[in-house]
Amino acid sequence: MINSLGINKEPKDTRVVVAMSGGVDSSVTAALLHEEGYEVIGVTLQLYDYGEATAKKGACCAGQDIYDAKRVAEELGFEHYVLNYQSKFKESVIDDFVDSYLNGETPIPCVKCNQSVKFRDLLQTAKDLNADCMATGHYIKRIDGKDGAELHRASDLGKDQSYFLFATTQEQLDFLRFPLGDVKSKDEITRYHAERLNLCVANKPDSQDICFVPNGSYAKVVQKLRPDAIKKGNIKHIDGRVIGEHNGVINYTIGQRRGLGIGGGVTENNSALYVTAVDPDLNEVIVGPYSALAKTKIDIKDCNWLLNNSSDNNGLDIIVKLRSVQEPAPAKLYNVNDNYHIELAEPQFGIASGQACVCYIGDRVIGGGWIKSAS
Amino acid sequence: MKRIYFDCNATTLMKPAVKDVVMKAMDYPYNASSTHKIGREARRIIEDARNIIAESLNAESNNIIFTSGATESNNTILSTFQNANYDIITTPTEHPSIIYYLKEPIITPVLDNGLIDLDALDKILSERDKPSLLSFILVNNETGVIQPVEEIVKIAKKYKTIIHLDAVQAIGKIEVDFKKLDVDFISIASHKIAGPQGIGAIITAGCKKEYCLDLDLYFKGGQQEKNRRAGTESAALIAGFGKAMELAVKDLSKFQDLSKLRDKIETKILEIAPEAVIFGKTAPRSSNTTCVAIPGIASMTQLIALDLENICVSSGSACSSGTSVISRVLSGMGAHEDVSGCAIRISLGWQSTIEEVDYFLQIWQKMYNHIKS
Repeated sequence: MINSLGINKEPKDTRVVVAMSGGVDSSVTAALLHEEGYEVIGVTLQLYDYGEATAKKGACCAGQDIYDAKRVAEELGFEHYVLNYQSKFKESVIDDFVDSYLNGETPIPCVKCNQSVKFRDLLQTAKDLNADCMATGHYIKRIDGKDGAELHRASDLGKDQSYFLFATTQEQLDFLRFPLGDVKSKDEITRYHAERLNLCVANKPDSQDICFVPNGSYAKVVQKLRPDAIKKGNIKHIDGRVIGEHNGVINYTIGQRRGLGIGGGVTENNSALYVTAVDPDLNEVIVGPYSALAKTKIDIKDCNWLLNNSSDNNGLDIIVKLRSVQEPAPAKLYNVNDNYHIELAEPQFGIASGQACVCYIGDRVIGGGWIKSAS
Repeated sequence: MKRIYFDCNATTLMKPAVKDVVMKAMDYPYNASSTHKIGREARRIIEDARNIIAESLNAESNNIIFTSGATESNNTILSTFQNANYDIITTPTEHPSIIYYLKEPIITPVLDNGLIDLDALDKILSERDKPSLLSFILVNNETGVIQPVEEIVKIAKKYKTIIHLDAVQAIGKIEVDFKKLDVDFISIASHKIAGPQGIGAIITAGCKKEYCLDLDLYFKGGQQEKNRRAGTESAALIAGFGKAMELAVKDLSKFQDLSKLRDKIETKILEIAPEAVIFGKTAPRSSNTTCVAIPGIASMTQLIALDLENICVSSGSACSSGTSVISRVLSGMGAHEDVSGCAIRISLGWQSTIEEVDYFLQIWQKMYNHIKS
């Protein structure tokens, strides 16, 4: 008998480690599997020092998410453990996040976290614990295809998290399960189950920010960790004129328009200026008109592919996402001696290096890489 | 599946006779400060227990102050000397209720086996230019290592250093004779000796020594405990503490026989995993404790794997949030994180049996083989 997780065992004999953040999605994931009769082991990761990150003394909400995850497990009666991954998280995610900003990039720590802390370290622990698979509350679909497991966009496209999971390797994917991938609507279905199962987190709001960056002020985090690395420098127009001063390259992102502190009179018709490049070596921020943001060619690095034959001399017809909130755009993927580049059918604006370029064929995620440069 | 509890340094299983005493006392509205008959009955229960504890440890019953537990005992003593601006010397292998209480502790090092480095201690004490307090744990909660208290006391006395012993893990494990120890204060707790939680004590030598201080009134309020600790005494818990103490001393040699079980665990683990590291193995240790690391298998992974088989152990000192962090004690003994992060503590209790040990070893081997495969 193949059970609902695609494993040839009775649910009661199937051990599932569920990565629980303390939010509603992973709580419902664990609760539904428990309800189906699986042997659920909830695991929550302690990733950073809450008091330190939020800079609150004796922070009243310290560890609330861990507490919530524990409560869900206690109330439903399955095992739950907290793993302290603070040092792993710092090495694999926070340090990389800071370095990336200092390199003038716009990093996505959530992808790094998924690919290292969650799907490498936690997944290994799940295997050590003799689990049959590991489930998460991500909105993404895993479909068993003829060449192994495939990754597809979630049924609820508004909640689809495929952009953040492109770096999942085939080996990891074989062991992973995403029971919420088929949920048609998070707001209707997931919350319905949370209430039906009387979970204490049923009305908890969705998380918005990067977990270790309070109030979205990432610059403060960088400043705190590398106070010496932030230096004032010139803001230059793409025509070479120095037109202002910036207070550290980390405060600027490609495509940014606000907060540049540049007065009028720089251009003839006083048209708006956008950050078009950040040069950490010269400590310069380059600005220009909107049209200067338009790019069609992208080089990507550190790629992960979930499709054999993702190389094609004539280019593979795909669609790509260059930001998490962007609609996928048509493009061609080329592989020249394992150097991958993308040619967009239409120019895209504000492509930032450090972001992910995620490639799809239809709804299937075929992989992607990190944006190295765009032209 | 049977549950095996090998985490007795965290807290113990109450002995049935102790539980009986506690439950019996809970039948009455006991407040020992009341004048009426029930109040006087409560007073009698408390003073009887105090006498048992005094006799068991060769201390003066007048100098036993009941507290809520060892954390309060430790904090009260440290508070007194810290507020009086004493130098406070302690080791890197102390309980959190010592180390996190101190603002500027002076750390005297321990050797790799966990024993206090006596030469270093002598030097540190000789360099003090103001009155000082030495506070150290007699039997370590994580490793079971027993400090050479006689020699330490000898050194401390040379410099008129006041001495506090955290003796929480020593009672019932080794002989504790307060007068013979010749120290100024000890902290003890009931729930580590098969008694109820929430009750502990400070035993003082009466503060007759030069530089010794009367303890601060840490809790203020009523005049309980001869005006040394405010708050209604818990007659039931104190009665249980007294009974637990009586039995702990009576059963001492039986408890020390647990070393046979402990040695069996260590021998078998080393046989299965020659790479295993046993902390403090070359030092004198309490009979019930082994702290063993398997490099390459994180403490938490071992803990969870064993818990899923209904075996309770812990990694280093249990942390209140349920997460685990690298053991400060093991780091203090010079262990690298790669090793200390892979350590678990197995601590046996009066109820432990050879059958449990055999079953534990069987499960342990299964876990080890699976992870290493």
